[in-house]
Amino acid sequence: MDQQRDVMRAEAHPLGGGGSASSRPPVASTSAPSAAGFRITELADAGAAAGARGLARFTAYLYLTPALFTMTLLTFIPIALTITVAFTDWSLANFTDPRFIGLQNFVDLFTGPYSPVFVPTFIWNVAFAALAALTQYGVGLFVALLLNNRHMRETNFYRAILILPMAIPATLSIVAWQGLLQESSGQINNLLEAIANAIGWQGFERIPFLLDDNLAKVSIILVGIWFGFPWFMNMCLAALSSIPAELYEAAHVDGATLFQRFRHVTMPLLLSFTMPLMVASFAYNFTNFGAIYLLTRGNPVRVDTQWAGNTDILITVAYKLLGQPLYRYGLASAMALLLFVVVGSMALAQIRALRLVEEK
Amino acid sequence: MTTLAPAARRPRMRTDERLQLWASRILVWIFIALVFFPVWGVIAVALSPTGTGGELIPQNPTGDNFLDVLTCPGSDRCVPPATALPGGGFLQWLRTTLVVAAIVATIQVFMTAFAAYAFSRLRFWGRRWGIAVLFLIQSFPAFMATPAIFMSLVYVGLNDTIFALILIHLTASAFWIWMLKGFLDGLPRELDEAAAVDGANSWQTFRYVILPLALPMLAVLFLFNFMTPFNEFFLTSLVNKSPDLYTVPVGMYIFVRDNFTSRYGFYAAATLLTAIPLALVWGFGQRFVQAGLTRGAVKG
Repeated sequence: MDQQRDVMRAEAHPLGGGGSASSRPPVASTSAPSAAGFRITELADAGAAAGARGLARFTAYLYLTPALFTMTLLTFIPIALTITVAFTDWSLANFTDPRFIGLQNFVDLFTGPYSPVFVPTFIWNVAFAALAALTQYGVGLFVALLLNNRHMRETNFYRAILILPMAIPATLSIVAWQGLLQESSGQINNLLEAIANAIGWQGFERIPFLLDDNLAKVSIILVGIWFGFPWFMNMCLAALSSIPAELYEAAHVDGATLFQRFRHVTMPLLLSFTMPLMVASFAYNFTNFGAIYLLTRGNPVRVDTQWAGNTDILITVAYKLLGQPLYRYGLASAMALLLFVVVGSMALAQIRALRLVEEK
Repeated sequence: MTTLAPAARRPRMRTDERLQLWASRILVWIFIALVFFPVWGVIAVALSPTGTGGELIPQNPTGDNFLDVLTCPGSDRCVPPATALPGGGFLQWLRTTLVVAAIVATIQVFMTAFAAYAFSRLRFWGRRWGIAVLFLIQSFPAFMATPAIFMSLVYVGLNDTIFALILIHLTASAFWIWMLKGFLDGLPRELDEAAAVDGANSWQTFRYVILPLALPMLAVLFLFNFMTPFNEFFLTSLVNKSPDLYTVPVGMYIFVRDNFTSRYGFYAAATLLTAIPLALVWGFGQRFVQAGLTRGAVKG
């Protein structure tokens, strides 16, 4: 596959060769000093070529303008504003007169009254993002391996219905999950109770999924799997279908067992393709506001502090800092900047892995 | 894609293969049951009498919740809390969301296609690392920049307009530009060259050669972007406080937020009425999604 990719890349930029001739660098600077007339025409040619090249570039920027315009307006400027605010004490108390306070917001996060919140929240945040990425990938891969069976004729049907969680708007289904997981009326508890009755287990008690610290965390991860696995299933199936069948035949001829074929043929090729997806998923979940807030709103509450609940991640804490009763825009923006450091380094890793920078 | 050989030439299965097939099938069925139980749970709640948390199998199934969703708060048959639905009710939210989604998705498709074409075929300063830089900047938790967007919209007086609802979703995405560029890189260059020989300029090449061939991937792009207004809650609720301009997620969340148990049946019915058409579109579009994502990401 790598070889194939290199071929693609070699073909990919023929603008010097296959594209318009005007984009080639002009070859006018060195020529015989005796033929002055020659040199003048060559220089004129070079000028025309440079003009055409300028026009070609201008055209390229025209194509890019709509995207760059919206990005500037809706991403770059708001981000710049947010970063600026991170170094001020902007809040409701001094809404009209924010002062520049340097790194004080960051000092506050690590040592101030928020530090008892910050450290445990950060740990849970990392754990949540890692567990979410791993479990969603794991389940998606497992289902993909089951479906990637050439004897299973109805695979496409399974695939079409298993994509369902991806098709329902996440905002709607997370809130629906909140209802399903209720202790007294939730359908999950209804089902468990029905099963307990059916097998005659008297000791069953309805489970407070969203009210217990640890159960709430487990619930968040499980709901995450429900949302996340179809994307990974799709991507893994795409990767699996790109593994040449000859490799399996060769392994079969060599007498490899099912596990050996998986371990030495499937897994290495699959990982090279899906690793960047894992990183992306980690980065996405690291700031996945909806998955936490719409399910638990960060609750259950912590006993030692009012600033954050037990399932809060940094971005939901930052959201709470933005709103009542604190309105600490400066502090919330400082937190956003810290998140950007983590997520940005993930993005750098992805840029490398996905080869977003072209080598030529 | 997965059925490698037509049925007639399918090799006879060995016993171990047959065993493996049936074990896989049973596991897949169990898995489907697990994935679909929550869906059934929501359906059962929607069919249960209004104001209850729902039963596993509704004893007296009723369509009241669906009728409430489709007719309240305007109709005479509505009783509290359905009369308290914000704005014009579900159908109006849905209309707003559909309009926003269609406009957003259309603009996004063209914007992304323009940019991806430039990155794939044209030469300009920044072509090599442009997408990487945009991608890096866009990894900033966008969510945290929403107050800045909100303040700017208030400043120019655009908050509480449908224009704001559209505008907030119009950021071009570096990820999708990269995906589409990957797809375009896979289209043979000979086509461009042939068009150039025939005297086509870059616009004509783009319009008549590249765009038609990129249609499957553009469909994927449209689908994903069409979903955004159905998915986005917080920025939408921030820039728009007027109930007349609620989108489906905003209206539903605000209605159900503080009276969860008693209004969950309504919520369930509204979720289903939104999700069923979208799910059907995805089910049928799955083939495109599969092909588009594969060719965009794997490149060959």
